[in-house]
Formats: sequence, C-alpha cells, structure tokens
Amino acid sequence: MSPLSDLQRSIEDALRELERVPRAPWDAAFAAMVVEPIGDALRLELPVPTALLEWIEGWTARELDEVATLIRAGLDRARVPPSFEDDLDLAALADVVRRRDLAESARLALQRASLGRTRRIPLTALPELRGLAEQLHVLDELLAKTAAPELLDAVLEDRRPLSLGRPWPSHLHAPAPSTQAELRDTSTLDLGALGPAPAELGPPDEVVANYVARGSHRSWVEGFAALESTGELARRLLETIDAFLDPAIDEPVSLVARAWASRVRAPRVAGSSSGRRASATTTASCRLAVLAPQRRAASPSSGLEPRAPRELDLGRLSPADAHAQLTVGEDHLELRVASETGLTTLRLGDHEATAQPHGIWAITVGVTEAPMLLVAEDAAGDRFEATLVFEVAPEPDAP
Amino acid sequence: MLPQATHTFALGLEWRPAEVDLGAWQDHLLRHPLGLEALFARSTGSRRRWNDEGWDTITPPVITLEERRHILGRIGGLLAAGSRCAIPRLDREDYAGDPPVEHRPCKRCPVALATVCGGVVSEISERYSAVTEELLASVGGREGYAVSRDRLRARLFGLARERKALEALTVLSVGSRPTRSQAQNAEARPDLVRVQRSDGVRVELYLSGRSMKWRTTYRHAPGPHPLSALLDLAPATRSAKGALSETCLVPRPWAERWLEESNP
Repeated sequence: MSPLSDLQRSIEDALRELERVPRAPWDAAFAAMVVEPIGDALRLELPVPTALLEWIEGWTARELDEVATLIRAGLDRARVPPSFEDDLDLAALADVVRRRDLAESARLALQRASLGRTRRIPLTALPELRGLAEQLHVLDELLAKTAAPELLDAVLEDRRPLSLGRPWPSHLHAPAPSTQAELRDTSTLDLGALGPAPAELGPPDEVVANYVARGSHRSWVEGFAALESTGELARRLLETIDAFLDPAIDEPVSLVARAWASRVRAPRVAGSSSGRRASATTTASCRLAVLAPQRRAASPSSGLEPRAPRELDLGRLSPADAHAQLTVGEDHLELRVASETGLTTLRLGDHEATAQPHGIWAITVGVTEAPMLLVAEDAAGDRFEATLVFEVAPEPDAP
Repeated sequence: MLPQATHTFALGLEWRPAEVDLGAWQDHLLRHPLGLEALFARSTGSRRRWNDEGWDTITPPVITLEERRHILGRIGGLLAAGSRCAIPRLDREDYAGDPPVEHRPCKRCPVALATVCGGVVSEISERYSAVTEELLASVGGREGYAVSRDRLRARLFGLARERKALEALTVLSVGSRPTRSQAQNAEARPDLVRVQRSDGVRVELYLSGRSMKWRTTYRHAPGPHPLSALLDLAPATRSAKGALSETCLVPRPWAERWLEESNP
C-alpha cells in the first residue's frame, strides 16, 4: 500500500467510526477532534458522510468559534525548537509541523461549516476562526525562519500527501501574501522548492480519469504532476486529454484539465530556475469545440424546428466550489454553474450571472468565437479563471 | 540505570537495564519536568510557561512549583571544579522572548558539576524514571495485547466520547524517527518505540533489532481532546512494513473491555 492509500483508508475509517458516535449533547472538544478528519477528507476530495457534514453545517457561529478557540489553544502550545542539534529537535519540529497540518484541516472544515448549503456566516462574525487563520500565518513565519521547506516537507511524514496540491510548507518561503486570497492560494508558488514527489504518492488511473472528465482531485493530480521528476504523469495526462477530445472518442474533458493542458503547452516562463511552468492562477486558454445544432425539417406546415440543445459537462471548476455545464443552442450558449456553498462571482466575458433557484447560476451569451474570460469565485474566496474560446461548427446531419 | 529490571514485550521486544549518560539525563530532566524546553522554544507569540508540559498536573505530580523554585535556586548557586550552571534564565517561570543561543547546555555540562546537580534533582529524577517505567510496564509482559495499528486507530475514533476508555489506555507503537529528507524517509527502518497515554505522557525508546534503549520521556502538551494524544503513533515505517510497525500493544484489560466488544 502507498502512503496515500494508507492515509485515505485511515481517513475513511475514522469518518465511518465517527458517523456512529452520538453527536449530542454538544461537546466542543469532541467537535474540535471531528473537524480534523473532515478537513483531511476535504483536502483530498474524499466524500464526507452526509450526517457529519450536516452536523457541522448546523453549528451556530458561537459553536464554530468555540471549536476554533480550542484549535488555537492547541496550536498555541506548539513549540518550535530554536535549532536542530539532534534528532530530538527534529522530532520536536515534526510535532509542531503535524499540529500545524491538523490545524489546517480543522480550519478548512470550519470554513466549510460556516458556508453551509443553507446559510453563510461571514468571517467577520467568527473572530476566533479569523484569528486561527492569522495564527497559522504567524506560525508559518516562525517555521520559515527555522527550517528549509524540504525539511518541513520531510517531517510531515504520513500526512505529506495532504499537501501535494496545496503545499503549505513551500508557502512559507514565498513572499508574504498581501491579501486573504493570496494567503489562501498557494498555487502560484514554486512547487519545485519541495523537491520531487515519490512515485507512490501518484494518483491511480481512476483518479486521473476523474480529473480529466470531471475536474475532481485537481490539487492532487496537478500537484503531483508538477512535482514528479520524470514527468510521467504529465505525459499520461496530456495523452488522455488528447484522446478524450478526439472526435472519434468524444469523452467529456473538464475545464480544469483543458486549462492545465493549455498552461503546460504554453512556452516556458523565461528565467524560471526550476524550468517549471507558471501554475494555476495563470489564465489558461481553453478551446471548446462546440457543435451548434442546425434547424431541421419538421412538418411542412411548421417549416423548420430547432434540434435539442447540446449539453457539455465542463466538470468542477476547482478550486472553486462550482460545477459547470454548457448548453449549446442554435444561436446561444448557456453556462450553468451549480454551487453548494454559493458563488460571489460568476462572469463570462462582459456578462455577470445572478443566482437562480436551487443554487444554480446561469449566463446566456450569443454564439461567438471571440475569447471570453470565465471567472467563478465561491463564498470562501476560492477562484477559478480561464479564457474560453469557442470553436463553433455546425453539427453534421444524422445519416 | 534505566530500567531497574528487564521488561519484555509481545513482538519479542526487550528493554534491559542500561546506564543513561548523565548529561543527557540531566538535559531531559531540566527540559521536561523543570520546564526549560517550553521556555527555550519559539512559539506563536504567546507567553510560554515552565509547566506547559504539565508535569505538575499529572497524578501524582512529578514536580510542584515550590519544588522547582527550590531546586533551581540551588542549581543556580552550584560551583563544582570551577564551573557554574550555564543555563540562562534559570529563575524564569514564564518567558516570551527569543530563545538563547545555547539551548542545550546540560549536554556539555562538566561531569563534576553534572554529578552535584544530579544530587539536587534526585527526587524529581526518581519520579521521572518511575513514570517512565510505569508506562512501559502497563503494556509489558502478559499485560500487552497486540492489535493492528489500523484497527486501533479506527476503534479510538469510535470511542471518542468514552472518556473512561481513553483515559485508561496506554499504547505502544513502533516506527521510525523523523529524517531530514524524503529520500531518507523512504529508506528508514523501524528504530523508534513510542509509548503514550491520554494525558500526553510519552516515553520514546531507540530500537535496534528487538532491543530498546531509553531515548526520552516528555509530556505532549494536551490537544483539544484526549484522542489527540493517543492518535499520534510512532511514524509508520515505509520501507519495512511488517508485524513490528503495523502492530501496537495496549493493556490487556483495556483490550478485553473496549476492543473485544467491537469484534463482529
């Protein structure tokens, strides 16, 4: 078994057991323990049992902050050794790094709980949760002064797969973020600082297929592809994406996979010491070949009637909590985006979406081949951006 | 000498009496029960207290504040073979500043001074070694019950609201010490035994073959829940999977009460 399989199994086992544990009466210490494996699952995009998710989404602002207070207190007791004289100092560093990583998961789960499917508690109403994010940043600064990213990465040990796509250890040596969005988004960082990823952390075939078709597990797949020294996964991904786009096969390809391929195929960034390419927040250009349905003959009395619109599943717009579908009509394109926690922005070119019932956001534009920037940002501030170029071709008549 | 007598364990592990280097032992005593580890570390800005590890709050306490004041006052006045104690801030009980340049002076203490110092802390030393042996004894010999790491971890989550169960548990796990790189991690062999209980007290031993040698005893500062002290097992060994690193030992009475009932 690989470390990733071990970790995945242990998270799933923990959640299965916790699902059976009585959740009442309220016990903040128990809640503080539960948010760690839930956050682990969210980071690896593993399913969280509905009962647990509904439970944390039902916590009041006071309860959320009570849990955040306990997490902060645990983090506050973490001690960073002043230097690494022997392996005991290294063990002390491993302990603080592990605590920091668990707190990252807890923070993510609390953030998710504050943005439930039926409510949105602003961060301003959660001073302790906001304080937790700030405290993590202070601890990061302390760690950055103490240890090299390779060392921090090594002492993460069995929790290392959680940081593959969002490697907070490399974040520590990046310039200080100036905004909350930058603080959250580690994707612009130089992943090469972490060194190559061991092969056993690589995503299995079904995960790669899910990423290509539905945009799932983006952080894992793209994170590993960026770190793998052989470039094997990157090659495999490009081949799979090309094969799926082949009209003879015509399988869905997610926007995130298209955007990734576009970035990878872009010219190298001049002066890049690692030789790696600019990463996720670079606005990638995605070409979408759409077949506009043609009017077809109907009864002689009604003349021509339109064919049914063609649906394209664009997959998850990761890292945003959003799933996109495109409907290609005869003379229009309709983008529909579903989000459980809600979107603050959905924009396509000059068009801005407004929320529709049932958590759906929609934009309709005329058929055009001009590039249009798609921006989707969720309530947590996670953002997907890509330039879409539609290549419209008439749908061939059925034989 | 630690331990006082040979302890044997399931899985063929053995802990025989061995001399512990005086400087190393004093270093651990002063850093953990006397609280210098907390004062000498860095933290997120909050004031660090001598008893952050909480050796004064376990039952029975290994040290009290009054004892600490008395001991450190005496250590500060020691003079042996022309040497005095080099530990900075001996009189501090809390601290929020930068760590000292020399944060492990006991390791380099002259033998004459360390010997006199050993006499000053002898009572704390006895309690500290007694906690160490007591922890090992609770999973030693016929008391130890072998359970797979995965099954134990899952069961612990299932017992998350059974405080009695968690408080009665001691876990021995085998793994490898942290290394400085992923490449070294991949090569690591089982070389660490960790024994821990829910109040955060931990003993770690070096493992060579099946023989163990004391490495440290400390108290893991408590997390939000007793589980956090129990789930942090010795890091599993990636290169040499097998019975050793995949099996934990727990007290037999605990297993019979809390583990067996979960059997299908």
